[in-house]
Amino acid sequence: MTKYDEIINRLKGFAPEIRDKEFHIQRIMDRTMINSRKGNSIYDFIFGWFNILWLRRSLAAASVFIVLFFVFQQFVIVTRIGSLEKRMIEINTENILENQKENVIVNAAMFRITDEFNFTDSIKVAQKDLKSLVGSYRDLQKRYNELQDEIRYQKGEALVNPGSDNKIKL
Amino acid sequence: MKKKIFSFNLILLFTFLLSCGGPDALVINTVHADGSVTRKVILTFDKDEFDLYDCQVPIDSTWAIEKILEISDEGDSTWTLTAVRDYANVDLLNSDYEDYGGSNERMNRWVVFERRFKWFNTIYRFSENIEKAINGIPPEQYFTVDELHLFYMPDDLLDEKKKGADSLMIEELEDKFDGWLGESLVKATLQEIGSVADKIPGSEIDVEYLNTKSSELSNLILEDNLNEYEVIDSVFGKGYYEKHQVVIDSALAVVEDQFDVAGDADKYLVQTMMPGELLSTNGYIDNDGNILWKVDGDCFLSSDYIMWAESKITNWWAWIVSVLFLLFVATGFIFRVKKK
Repeated sequence: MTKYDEIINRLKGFAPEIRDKEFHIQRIMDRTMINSRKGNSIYDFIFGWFNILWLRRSLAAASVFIVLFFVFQQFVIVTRIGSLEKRMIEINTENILENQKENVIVNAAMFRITDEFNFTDSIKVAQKDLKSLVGSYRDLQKRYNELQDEIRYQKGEALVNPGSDNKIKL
Repeated sequence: MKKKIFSFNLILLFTFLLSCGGPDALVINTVHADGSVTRKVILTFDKDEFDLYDCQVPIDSTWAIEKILEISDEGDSTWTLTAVRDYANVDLLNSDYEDYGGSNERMNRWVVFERRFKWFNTIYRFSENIEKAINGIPPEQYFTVDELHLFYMPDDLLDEKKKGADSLMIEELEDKFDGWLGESLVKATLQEIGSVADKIPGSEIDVEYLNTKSSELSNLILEDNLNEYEVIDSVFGKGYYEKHQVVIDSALAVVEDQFDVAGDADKYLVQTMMPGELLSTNGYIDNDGNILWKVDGDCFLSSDYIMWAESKITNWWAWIVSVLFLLFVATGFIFRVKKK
């Protein structure tokens, strides 16, 4: 036995305990594989990262994060959009403007009424009630005109200017 | 004696406030992704007498203005004035609100635009805000969710609903509204009395004691046949008003002044179109996909009225980058498995 063998045997006798054996094996294997495969192909060049443990783990974690973030964000969006259904109403801009026109006509009629009819024995009426009365009157007038038109149509008379007759203007 | 402010008549007037005989206004905000806003104001009136400087929202002669006269089949004529202006950002809009001196000048209004990058999407939030008039009870604390849905609903729609299945609920809401208004006024007044009393040395007003009587006060102020002197004396004992007249009158004057901001509000409708796809809002979504809010005194009486909407624009480039990245990582792992 040479002196060298003797030293080796003595070192074997005091072999240190390696913690995280798997990790070190993997690391050594990865390094040796990079060196042995370096410059083998374009695929190795592009995907060489998978031999580097920390890079592989980081990219995997980033991928998982992106997927989870996507799922979470889509869930939140779908939930919020779903709740919009409760906020839907049956009206559009055209209706709003039509209502506004009707409103100003009714308001104007109301002011005319209050200006023109000032009786000494008059009673106080809430503006809202008066507005409702004028609105109902106008609606009734419209329906009455439509009915007149319908009667004329049934009789075979020509409708020159529909809805224009029998008008009682406020 | 100072005229009684909390009369039932006043509440009725407030509840059923009409549009003061002026033009009806629809304000349409088109919000763009870069934060600019195109604002269109449509005024409707029965005569060609539009006072731009007294409109519900700021408008002036620099806007692109167009007027149309329409005569209906019934012979009624209506004038429609459309004013349009592009704002490069909301700061300019806020600046116009600050300089505004029209019918709603006492309303403190401001606009906020926010853009948040969320990788797959960019989220846009636009809000028009009005500061509360008095320190009353916020509607959110007083009404149920269903009632609030009707509370903030534009009047025309509410009138339509009255003819349908919701008529009973609307009637109940109108009754509850009076209670809310009364309690809000009492809360604001008591707070103000406390605040005034603190400033006057030697004041013997016990605010905590006053607060214990708030519900009694709320019920009594709805009585039409009692003035403030009688209301206060009947709740706190004879002579209480006279003893603390200075403090009470000062507080009432402040609350009345604050209340007028809401009470005198010239109502209008706000419609907003957001960039991209609408995500959520506290407004109402009409058939055209626009968001609608009414603005009247009720809405901002006792809590800040925030008309907000959020939308998103998909960042397709972020989707592509993400998919490519995932494919890259997945392919790497497939190679690794194969090479093993």
